[in-house]
Amino acid sequence: MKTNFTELFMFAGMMAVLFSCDNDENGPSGKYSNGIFISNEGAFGAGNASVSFYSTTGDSIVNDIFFNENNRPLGDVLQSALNYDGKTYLVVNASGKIEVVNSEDFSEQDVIESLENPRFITEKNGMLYVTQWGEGGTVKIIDPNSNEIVETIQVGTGPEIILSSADYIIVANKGGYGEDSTISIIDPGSNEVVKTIQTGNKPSDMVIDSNGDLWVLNSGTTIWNDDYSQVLGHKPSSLVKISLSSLEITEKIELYSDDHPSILEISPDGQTLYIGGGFIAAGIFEIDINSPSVPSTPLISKSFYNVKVNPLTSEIYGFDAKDWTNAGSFSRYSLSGNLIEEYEAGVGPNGVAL
Amino acid sequence: MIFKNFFWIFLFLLASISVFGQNILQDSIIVIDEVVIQSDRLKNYAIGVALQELDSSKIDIYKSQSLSSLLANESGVSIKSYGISGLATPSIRGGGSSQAALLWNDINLQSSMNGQASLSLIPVQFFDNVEVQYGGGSSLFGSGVLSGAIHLDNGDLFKVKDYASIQLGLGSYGEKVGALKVKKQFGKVHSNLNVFYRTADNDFEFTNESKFGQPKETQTNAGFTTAGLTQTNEIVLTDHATFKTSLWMNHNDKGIQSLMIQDTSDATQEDNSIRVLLNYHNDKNNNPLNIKSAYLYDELRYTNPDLADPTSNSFTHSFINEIEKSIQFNQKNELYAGLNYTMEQAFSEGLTGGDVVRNRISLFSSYRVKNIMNRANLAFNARQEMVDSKFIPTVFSAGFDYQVTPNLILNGTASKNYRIPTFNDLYWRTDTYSSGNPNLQPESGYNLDFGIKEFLTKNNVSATFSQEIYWTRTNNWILWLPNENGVWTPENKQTGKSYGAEISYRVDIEFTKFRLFSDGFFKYSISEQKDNDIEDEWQSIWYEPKYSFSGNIGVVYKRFSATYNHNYYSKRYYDNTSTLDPYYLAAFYFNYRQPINDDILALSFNLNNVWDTNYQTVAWYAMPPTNYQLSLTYHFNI
Repeated sequence: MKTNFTELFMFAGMMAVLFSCDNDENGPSGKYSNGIFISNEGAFGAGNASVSFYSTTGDSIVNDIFFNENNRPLGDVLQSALNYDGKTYLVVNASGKIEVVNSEDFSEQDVIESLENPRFITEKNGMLYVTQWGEGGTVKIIDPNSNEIVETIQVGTGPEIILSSADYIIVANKGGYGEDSTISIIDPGSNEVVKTIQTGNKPSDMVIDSNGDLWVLNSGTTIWNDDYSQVLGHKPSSLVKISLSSLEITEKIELYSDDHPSILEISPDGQTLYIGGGFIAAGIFEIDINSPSVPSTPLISKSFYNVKVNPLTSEIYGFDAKDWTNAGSFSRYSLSGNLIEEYEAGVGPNGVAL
Repeated sequence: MIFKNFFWIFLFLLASISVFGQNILQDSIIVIDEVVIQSDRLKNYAIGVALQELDSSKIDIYKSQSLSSLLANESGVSIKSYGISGLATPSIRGGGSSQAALLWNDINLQSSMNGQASLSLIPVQFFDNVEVQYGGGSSLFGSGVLSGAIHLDNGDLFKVKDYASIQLGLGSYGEKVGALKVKKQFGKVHSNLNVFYRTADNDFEFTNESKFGQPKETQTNAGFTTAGLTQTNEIVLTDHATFKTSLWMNHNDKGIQSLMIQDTSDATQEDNSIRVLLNYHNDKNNNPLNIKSAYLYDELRYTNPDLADPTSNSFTHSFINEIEKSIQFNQKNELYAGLNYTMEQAFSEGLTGGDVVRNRISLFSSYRVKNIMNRANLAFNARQEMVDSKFIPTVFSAGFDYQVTPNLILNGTASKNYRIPTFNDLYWRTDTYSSGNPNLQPESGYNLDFGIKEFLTKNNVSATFSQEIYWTRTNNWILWLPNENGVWTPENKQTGKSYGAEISYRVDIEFTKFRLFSDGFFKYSISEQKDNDIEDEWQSIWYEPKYSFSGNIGVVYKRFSATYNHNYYSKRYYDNTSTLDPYYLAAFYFNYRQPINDDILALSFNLNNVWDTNYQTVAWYAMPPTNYQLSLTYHFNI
């Protein structure tokens, strides 16, 4: 009997979703306007990557919108997503592709294939730049008009986060399966690497502050013995500030000798850094860009798989992947660290396309 | 006395589900000799257990295929097959892939490292008989027989006339099969040799429904080669004693099939096994004594050039020794006891320190009361295992069968079962991503089932019907989950429950010129699992369909036989929210035998997936469209 009730409940839930979709379609604007797309990574090999839509005006979440709109799965491991020019670009890592959908109704438009381990994406001067681990660490340049790869730039090993500043494209070379300790600075005019900067062990994340300076978080590494039975030591984590005019390191803060945070975000006013992640640093910590020091008490005492700041709503989003089997969660926090609300997302939520 | 023997033969026959038709079909197939092919332990002490026998007629149809194909098409075992030739694991009654054991002459072939035995590596050709045991059987067969077991057995060689047979076959996607079988008597020694070779490219075309524009694609990296041999010698020592040696070597080389949703896979896997079994059997005074020694060696070599560390190899040795003895007190009461000593060792870079060993001793016993009021049998079984001087909780079982009328038999069992953690669970090396857990407890399961079998023989119709209902619960189910530091580690975190029904039938109708037959196995199962920590709802066990059906309808006309095989699977969850669509899958099997003097030439043609179903058994592994296999077998007396 219990099962019947569960099925009935699920059926009712599905009907509710269907009806709410219908209502949305009657609305004045696109079905998925006024909200954010949450990327749910899914478990590797399971092909259960998905996208959730959080409506900021309706304060509600709809899961699995790619499947619902296109009646096919998104693919294996959704690494990141970008909204650009009315389209949403979904970087599907293990499927080696970028799915292109209409941002308003999420209908499929095109697919960009032949990528090898694509990771993150940014836009500059009307072109898309995608980091990928393949071919020894490269940035692929894609023309969004044709959705063709037009150029390949060699960068460091295992490139991850890619940012566009006023003058440059900046790539953090984390090292992939191994280690790297550099960032690559690309000139978007010539599409060449103009400088490679040694920042520290495993540069994992980057932000640009209100002064136009670049901050790079180096995660550091745990060193194991040959059979991984013993921790031999650590390469420490650190934070460096780089001037984007001189392309020189102007400040370096040693963080932890044996903790390896992997997430760096910045407040909407560009004055406060947030670090966390890496599972070991239990919480989200604040660092003032004007007087940076190693934080001791967390702003939010919870460990997340990823953290994003929405500058439009001045909220901190926490993504909890939980066990990668059940649905993960998406939590909204105020800038003072108070939990506003927690929502059920897809499997392995890891970020947003704002 | 004659009546009594007849009664026992009758009961034994009733214990298996598809009894009739075996005789009827046998003149259409090659192996004609009647042999008793069940392990003594299963036959004598697993009283009341739900068994499905896949007899020599089924073996003959699937003789050039793997055990996973046979079970997927003909039994109630859910086969989780990672593509056409990838890892294929069984699930019985909603249990996990390591909770249904593969037993070869009562020796458990599950890997000590990962608890699994891949059924796609096992050639059907090597066995005379495959039996599926639905429900746990740890008290008789030990750890791992938590939700059921698959028994592989061979008949006594001294009952088989000398012969040789050569088989050559070919099929779609570059499939080639070659097999040789020889049985020869040398005085008191009866020997046989089976050699098997099969290869296929599996570069079939499929529609990739997961991709933009649903392109037609050609499957990559799904090819495989299997080569193996078995060599058995049976020495007749006295009227009551035999000594048997068995050698089974198996080699398998395969690509790890590219997923529909991923880039082309370059990974490959090689599996090599050597299995040796020595068996002394003496049944003097009807008090059988059985002494067994087995050595199992398995190596797995995985290569993925896309990974930073492209090779991952593991090697396991098992040394198994067992002595069993029965003592009959009188016509009704019998005690049976056994002692098992097993040493297991594994070498792998993945294990802490690179190698681990464990010693296991178990004592098992059974008390049987037979022929109560000429109608009923009872058995009580128990087992106590000690792993490295640590006691595993005792398990027990009780079973009965009761003949209400000559055409109606009731049976039932109640049992407690267990599975000890694998080496990977316990000793996986600790790194940033994963870690074993040496504090794991064994999984423990309870099983209750009840069945009715009915028989009908009237004029030219003979029929068997069997219904089983069951209930199971599995505690301390081991599950790998990320802990608070994001490190994947196994814990006794899950509870599983399953209940359902298994209904099977076999009908044969004999006409003057031809015979019609049909059999079927229908399964209804509600199988759910729950995380112990979270206030979680029960969730469907992945890949377990609520309904499934496997059945055949066929005709035998003189030297010709034709069978239509049909399978249906309802939707299956592949994670907690997403499901794979229901599908049906069908095949035609044709067989023709031409006697040439004293020899037989047999031609068989299998047309698989006749309705061109686009289906997946594991999410995003494409499966082939309509395909064929053609085979020619020459069987001659020597």
